[in-house]
Amino acid sequence: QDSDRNPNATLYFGNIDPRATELLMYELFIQFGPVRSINMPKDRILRTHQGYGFVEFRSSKDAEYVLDILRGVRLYGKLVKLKKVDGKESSKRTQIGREGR
Amino acid sequence: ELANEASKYKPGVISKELREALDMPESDLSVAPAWITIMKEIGKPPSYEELLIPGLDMEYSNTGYKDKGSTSRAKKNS
Repeated sequence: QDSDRNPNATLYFGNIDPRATELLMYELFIQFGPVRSINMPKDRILRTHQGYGFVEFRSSKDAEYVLDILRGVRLYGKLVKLKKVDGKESSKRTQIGREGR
Repeated sequence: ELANEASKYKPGVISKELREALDMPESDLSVAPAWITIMKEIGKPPSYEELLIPGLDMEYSNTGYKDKGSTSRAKKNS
């Protein structure tokens, strides 16, 4: 199913407080557009998320809008980082957390 | 399991948990989230352009975005 993901409609989100669950992130994102899928990779042992994830909207327009409207939003005091996942990045998604490019 | 739990969330309805995370007053539901102000500037979400949004199209309430046709239905209920 992962391969069906539309990279143009997908955003990376990071700097997420441990208290913010996947459901909470889902609730936040649906305020701005229908969410097709959301995924926050979990630590296999602790079963906690690792502070980042990916959300796929129905269209790239939804994703662009979210980038605009959530600029500067804080959850539990932490500034939420958002960026587009373009085609190239999503094919080597394991490296997405790297800073700078 | 996520899909099941997720179905209880609706755009325009903000849970106690999310209000807390956003540092909004939890008990005063008349306070709109900060993004309502931004929506006034940049417009409604592209997928919800056809919906009526409390805080933009009507007085703010934490009751969800509405279908344009649903206001008449809602009136019947009230």
